[in-house]
Amino acid sequence: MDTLQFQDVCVNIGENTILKDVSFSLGKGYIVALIGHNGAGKSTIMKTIMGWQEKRDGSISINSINQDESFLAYKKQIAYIPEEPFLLSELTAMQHFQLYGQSYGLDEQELMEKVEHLTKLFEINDKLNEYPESLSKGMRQKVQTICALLPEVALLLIDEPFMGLDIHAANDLERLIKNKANSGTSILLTSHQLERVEDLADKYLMLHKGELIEHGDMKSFEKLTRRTTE
Amino acid sequence: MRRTWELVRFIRKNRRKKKKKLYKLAFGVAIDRTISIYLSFFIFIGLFIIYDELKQLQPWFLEMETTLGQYIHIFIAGLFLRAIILSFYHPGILFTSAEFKMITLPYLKKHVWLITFIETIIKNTVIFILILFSLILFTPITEIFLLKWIGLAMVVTILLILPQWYLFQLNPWRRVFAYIIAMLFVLAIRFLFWSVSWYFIIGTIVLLILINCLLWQKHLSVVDWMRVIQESDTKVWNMFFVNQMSKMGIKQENKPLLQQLFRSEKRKRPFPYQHDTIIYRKLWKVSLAEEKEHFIQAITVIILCLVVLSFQNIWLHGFSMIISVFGFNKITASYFNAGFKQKIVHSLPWDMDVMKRAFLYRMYPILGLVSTVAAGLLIFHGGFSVTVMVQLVQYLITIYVLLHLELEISINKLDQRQYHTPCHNWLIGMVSYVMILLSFFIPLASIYALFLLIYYFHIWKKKKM
Repeated sequence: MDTLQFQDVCVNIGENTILKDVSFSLGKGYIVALIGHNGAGKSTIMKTIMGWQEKRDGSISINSINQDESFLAYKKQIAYIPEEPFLLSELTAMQHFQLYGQSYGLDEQELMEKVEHLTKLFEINDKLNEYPESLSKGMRQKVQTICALLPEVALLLIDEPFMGLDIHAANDLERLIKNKANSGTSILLTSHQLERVEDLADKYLMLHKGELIEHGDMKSFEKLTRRTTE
Repeated sequence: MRRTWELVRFIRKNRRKKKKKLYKLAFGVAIDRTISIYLSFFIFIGLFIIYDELKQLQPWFLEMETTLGQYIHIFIAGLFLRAIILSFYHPGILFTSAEFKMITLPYLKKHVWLITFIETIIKNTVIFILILFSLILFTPITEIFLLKWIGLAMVVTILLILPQWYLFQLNPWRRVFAYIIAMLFVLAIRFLFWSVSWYFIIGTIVLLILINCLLWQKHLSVVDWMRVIQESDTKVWNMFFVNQMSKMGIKQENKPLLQQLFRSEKRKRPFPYQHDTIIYRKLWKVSLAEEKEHFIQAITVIILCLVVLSFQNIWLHGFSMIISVFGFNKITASYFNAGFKQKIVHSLPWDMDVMKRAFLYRMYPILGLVSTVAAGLLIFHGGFSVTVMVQLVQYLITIYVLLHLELEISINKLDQRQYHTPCHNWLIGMVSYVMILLSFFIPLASIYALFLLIYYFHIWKKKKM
C-alpha cells in the first residue's frame, strides 16, 4: 500500500491555476524528489499536503487517512522541514524540541536521547537554551530540521533540505534522510541542488507550470540530463 | 550641508505626495462627496457646541488654573517619564531607511542626522504653537496660564529629544537606571527650590541643557541603526486611517518593555515535560498576545454592554446577559481557531484535548471577569435573594456549557472539511438564550440550567467512550 496518495489535485489561487490535475503516489520508504523551475508548483504541492493551501479538487490521503475527512489523524503522520525556519522567538531551541516531542507523543527519555544525538551531530548542543534571534540563520535551520527529524512519521516533507546548511551538516542530513527512508518513512523533497538529489532520491516527479510532465526512477533522470547536456 | 538639505527636502516632498495619495485612496473608500459635506457640517456644528459648553465651564477653568500651579513639578516629572518610556519604543528622531540610504551615497551621516534633529525640533515647536492657539481660541483658559504651561512643555520636550535618542540606544536596564537618576535630579531640584516654582523650572531647564551638551559629543558614537530605521519606518508609514481602510496594519516587531527587561534565565529553562499543557499554554499566550488589542476591545465592549444595558430596563438587562454569553463564546472560539493558523502550530499534530485545556487555562480568567461583572449587576439590581442566586448559577452554567460546545464545533470543523453544525447544537443555544431572558420574568426558567448540565455531561461521557 502506498503511503501518500495525491489524486487529481487542482489548486487555484484567485483566477490562476497553480496545480492542474496532479496525481502521484509515494511508496513506503521511498525518497521522491519534486523537480521543476521556479513557479512550477513544487512548494504548492508541499503546502497542499500540509493543509495550508486549499485545493479546489482532488483528494490526498496518507496511509488511507483522508485529509478532508480526518485532518487530526492525518496530521499525526507528517513532519515538515520548511525552506525558511518558522521558529517562535518566545521559545528556546530546547523548548522547540519539547514542543515537537510532546506534539508527536514522544516520551521524555526518547526525546532527550534523540535531542542529544542530533544536536551533537549538527554541532548545536551548546545552543539549547538560546532563543532563535541569537542564532545564525544556519543554526536556526538546523533547529528546525532537528524538530522535524525527532518523530517517527509515515511521511517526511522537506522543502529545500540543504538550504542554509554548511557542507558537513548537509552531508549529515543526507545520511539521516537515507536512514529515515530505510526505517520505512516516505520522503518527499524539493531541491535545486540536483547533484545531491541525484544521489539521494529513488524517484523523481517533474513539474512544469503546475502540471506533472514526467516521472520515473532517478537513474533515468540522470541519463536524461546527461543526454540533454551532451 | 546645502546639498544634503536639498535632498532631504526632495525626499520629504515625495513622501508627502505619496502619503497624500494614500489618504486620498483611503478617503475614497471611506466617504463619498455627499457624506463629506454632511460630515464637515456636523464637525462645524460640533465645534460650536463644544465652544459653548466650554464657555459655561469658565469658573471651573479659573479654579483649575490656581490649583494646577502647585503641581508643576509633577507635570515636568511626567514629561521626563514620557520621554523615558518612549525611549523603549522610539528613538524620538525619525531617521528612516530613506535617510540611511542617503548616507550610503556621498552625504555625511552627521549632516543628515542634524537635519532630522532640527526637523524634529521644528515639528515639536509647530505642534505646541498650534495647540497654544487652538486653546486660546476655543477655551476660556487665560493666555498667561497657557503660555506658561505650553511654553514649558515645549521647551522641556525639545530638550528631551536628544536624551530620548541616546536612551533608545542603551540596553533596557541602563535605561531604567538613567530614568531613576533623572527623577532623583528632578526631585533634588524640587526640594532645593521648594517655595519658588520659577527657580525649580529654571533649574530643570539648566539641567536639561547641561545633559544635552554632554550628550551632543556622543550622539552618533553608539547607534543601533537597524532598530532606529525599523522604528522610524514604522512610525512614518503606519497611518491609522489608511490601515483601517486597507485592513493592512503594520505590525510592530518590538518586544514589549517588560519582555525586554525580564527575559530571565528561568524562562529559558526547558519545560517540565510531564506537564502536558504547559508548552501549549505558552503557545496560546503568544497567539493571544498578537491579537491583544482587538481582544481587549471586544471584551471591553461586552462588559460595557452589560453595564450600560442593565441600567435601562429589565428587558435590556436580559438581552445584555444574552449578548455577553453569545459575544464571549463567539470571540473565544474565533481566537481558538486563529491560534491554529500560526505556521509552527499548523505544522504540528494537534492533540485537541490538551490544546483545548491549555486554551481554556488562558481564557478562564477572562470568563471569570465577564461572569463577575454579570454577577455584580444581577446582585446590584435584584439584591441577595434565592432567585437571583439561582439566576446567577444559570448564567454561569450557560456560559460554561455553550463555550465548550462552541469549541467542540471549532474542533470538528478543523478535523472534517465538510462538517456542519448539527441542528440540536443550534437549538440548545437558542433555548439557552431564551431561558436567560425568561428567568428575569419567570424565576422557574432558571431550572433549565439543570437540563443543560445533564446534556453537557451526556455529551462529555459520549466523547470519552
